[in-house]
Amino acid sequence: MVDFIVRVEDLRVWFPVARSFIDVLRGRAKLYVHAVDGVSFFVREGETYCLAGESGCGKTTTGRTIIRLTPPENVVSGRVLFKPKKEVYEYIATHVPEAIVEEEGAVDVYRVPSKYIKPLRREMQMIFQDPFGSLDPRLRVRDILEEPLIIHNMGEGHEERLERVIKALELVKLTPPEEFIERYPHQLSGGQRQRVAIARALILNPRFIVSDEPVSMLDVSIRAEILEILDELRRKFKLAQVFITHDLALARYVCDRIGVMYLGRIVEEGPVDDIIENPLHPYTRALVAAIPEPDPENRKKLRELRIKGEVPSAVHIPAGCRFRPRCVAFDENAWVQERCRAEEPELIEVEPGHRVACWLYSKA
Amino acid sequence: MARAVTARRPSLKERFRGVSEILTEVRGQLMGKIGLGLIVFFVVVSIFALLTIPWDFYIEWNDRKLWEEYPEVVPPVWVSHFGVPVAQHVSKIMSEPTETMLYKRPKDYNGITLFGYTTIYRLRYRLKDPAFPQGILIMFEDVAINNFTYRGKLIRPDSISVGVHVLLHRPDGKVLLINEPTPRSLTEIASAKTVRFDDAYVANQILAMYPGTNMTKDYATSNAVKLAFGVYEDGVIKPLRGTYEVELIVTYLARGVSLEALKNVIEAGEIGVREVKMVIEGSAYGLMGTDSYGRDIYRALLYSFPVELVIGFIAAVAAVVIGLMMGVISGYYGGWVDEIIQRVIDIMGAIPALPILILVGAALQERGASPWMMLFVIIAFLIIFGWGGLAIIVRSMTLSIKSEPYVDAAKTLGASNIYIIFKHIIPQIVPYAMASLVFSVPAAVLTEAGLSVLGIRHNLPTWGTVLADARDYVYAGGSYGVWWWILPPGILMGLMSVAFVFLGLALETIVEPRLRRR
Ligand SMILES: Nc1ncnc2c1ncn2[C@@H]1O[C@H](COP(=O)(O)OP(=O)(O)O)[C@@H](O)[C@H]1O
Ligand code: SF4
Ligand SMILES: [Mg+2]
Repeated sequence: MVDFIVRVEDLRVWFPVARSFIDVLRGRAKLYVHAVDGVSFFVREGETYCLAGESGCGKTTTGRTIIRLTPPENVVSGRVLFKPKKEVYEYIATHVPEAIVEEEGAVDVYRVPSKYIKPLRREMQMIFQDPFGSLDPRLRVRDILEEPLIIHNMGEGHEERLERVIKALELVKLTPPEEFIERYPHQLSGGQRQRVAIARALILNPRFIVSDEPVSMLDVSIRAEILEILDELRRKFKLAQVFITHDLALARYVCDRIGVMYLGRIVEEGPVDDIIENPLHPYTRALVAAIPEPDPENRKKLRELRIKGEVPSAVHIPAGCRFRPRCVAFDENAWVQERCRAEEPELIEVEPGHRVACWLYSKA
Repeated sequence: MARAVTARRPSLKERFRGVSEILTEVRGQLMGKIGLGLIVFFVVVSIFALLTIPWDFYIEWNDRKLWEEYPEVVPPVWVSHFGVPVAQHVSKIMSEPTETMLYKRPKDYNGITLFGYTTIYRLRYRLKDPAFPQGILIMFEDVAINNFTYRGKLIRPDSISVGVHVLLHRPDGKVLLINEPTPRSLTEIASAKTVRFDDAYVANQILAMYPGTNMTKDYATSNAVKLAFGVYEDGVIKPLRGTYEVELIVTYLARGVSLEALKNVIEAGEIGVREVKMVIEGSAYGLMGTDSYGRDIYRALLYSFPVELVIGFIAAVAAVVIGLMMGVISGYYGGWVDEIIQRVIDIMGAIPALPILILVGAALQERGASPWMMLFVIIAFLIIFGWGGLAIIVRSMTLSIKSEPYVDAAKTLGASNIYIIFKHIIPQIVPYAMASLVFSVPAAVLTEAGLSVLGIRHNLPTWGTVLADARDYVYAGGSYGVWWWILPPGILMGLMSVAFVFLGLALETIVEPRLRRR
């Protein structure tokens, strides 16, 4: 078994669709948004794993579930395993033995009740997509960064905490810190806010972070800068990371391995260069084809978009292979159609580390 | 370098910057200015009231006896500045008789026969304007009724016979006897305490003053006071201006005791009348006039200032705090907690609060509940039925704040629910809650007043009860002309509402910048 920091096993996160009173009276079945519908992957120490895919395919939900932001009642199946620091592991082992799993050093995140979750929270953090919403508008930068320290009783007194706040600001290159420390979020640019958010996530010294499209809401001109800071800090603190993005070009720049999600499932997974240079799944191929090509000579390729239709709703998942209604390969390969209709393909390894969920590659 | 940033806690000034900034903004708006100004006025007057009126003034207010000597349903004295003729109200306490005499034999004095040791108290009264006083009242404030010995014999106060005559000397020289002078014992005088203007008795003397006119006994009786202070001519009574004198004559006689000895013990203050109050009830009184029991409306209105503010603030603060907490809990925790709170609000909204309060109030009144108990019940009702509306708004605000990414961020950092509620949610709602609080202060005051008018009396003198008394007076056939009784409490309630509504509107434009018109 690989040595992981985070491992997600057959995770399903469903959100009930609100029914009207009339629907209830008519006895209509309760419907669910299948936001995450059977996702498994792992992240190694110091590794960045990308979750890519169109908007609405369940990336954010997966990320939020890993750090236990999704309410347990919506996690209908699966496990999230996490290997915390030794002290935290021991703390959980003594207080919540049922959260301990067979894998050495790992805990089942959703088995830890909220009463005992606090030490675990220190270890896993998240950078949210929207830097305009993720900072409380009424708090100053110093209050925002001091908050995690106060919550975890870190730092002896106000002064020591302030030291740490200043250090954290220096880490994200908001210098000189005294210029930013008294500011309110509305006095900062989007990039500056995201740096504060990064500083806040890292001030607790986590070993794992989820970065949910951290630059997608920023001006193109400052994205590289933020990504660089993030990458530098990730290396410096040997962070494991789940990096969420809908941009394959960005994924190639940021991650080691990538999982391509479609409608709540990972349809292809592998080292990022493999996936982009040799996409196998019809969906991944379409995504890769859509990457804007910097070289004008190659731009022609882009024209043939090998996908049809729109993303169906995550409430009514198509039977069989969920990609079938949009799959061009399905139309072209009559021999596979029966299986595509009948059964959901599982991820199978086609090359070392490169796995794909499509009947086209099934050996059986 | 960066260490140059000094580590310090936010100072008090910084912490309250929010509040003082809001106040500055409020003052920048015309409505805010008016509202704040009025509130300052109400607070200053309340403090003045607390300093000048005893807190248990309501006991005095509800004791009818204490207000007997005041004219009933008369306007304030300052109406004279607007040309309204006014008969002055005069009240004088005398502990020494103006004159004493000793009649060893029956003797005629101003048409009455006196015999014994006689003390005379005189009060001059000038009627300047063509107006009628409301009456004459003599009160024996202090009567000594001790035993004493005379030549070895024990003399008891009930064996001392006392004659009381009250004469009214008119400017035209005529003299009226305002009550029937039946001799009484000293103990009777001590317990009766007052001598009133006897309409029927005076009427007879009046009739004798106008022989040959067609004046009837009934007419003379029902207009006795006016006739005593006026002249009857061609079927109308005109006030007789000039200087009057009220003369109270008290004669003492004791069988078997020499008059000199009697005089000595009386002068020594051992027995007899020691202090009298002579009152001529005017046709105007005080700063704000009187009600139908002669009570000083000014004092009730003043007493009411702090009472109304306290009613308004307790009811509003409690309702807002409960509404805020319930709304936050409901919105934040959701689930069955939310369900229960929302259903409770629905039920409260469906309960006819006012009819129930009227019933409860009537039942309490029946049982003679204390004013504080009544007030407590009214405030409790205002609170119980007052928090629901805010709770619904706060719930929806909480729902939207709860889904803000910074709340998720706080959760990720390990913040507990309580921490998130107090650190991230409530601070955002507080400004709205403040505006709502400001709006519900006058609502509570007006409800309290409305209940008084509907008959739920807590019997504390408040603007509401004063107004309710005026209503009772008018319903019982009184004239609507009692403006001094109706307008001031009405205007004060209106001003209080305006004050808080203006402040609330100003606050609202500050906490809700979208409302700002610039
Ligand atoms: N809290 C929620 N309640 C109901 N539906 C949700 C919730 N969160 C996400 N969803 C739904 O789940 C699906 C996946 O959403 P999300 O994980 O945000 O996708 P992505 O991040 O890939 O854009 C979407 O259809 C979204 O509408
Ligand atoms: S399994 Fe069939 S339908 Fe699904 S992607 Fe592969 S070819 Fe297309
Ligand atoms: Mg997303």
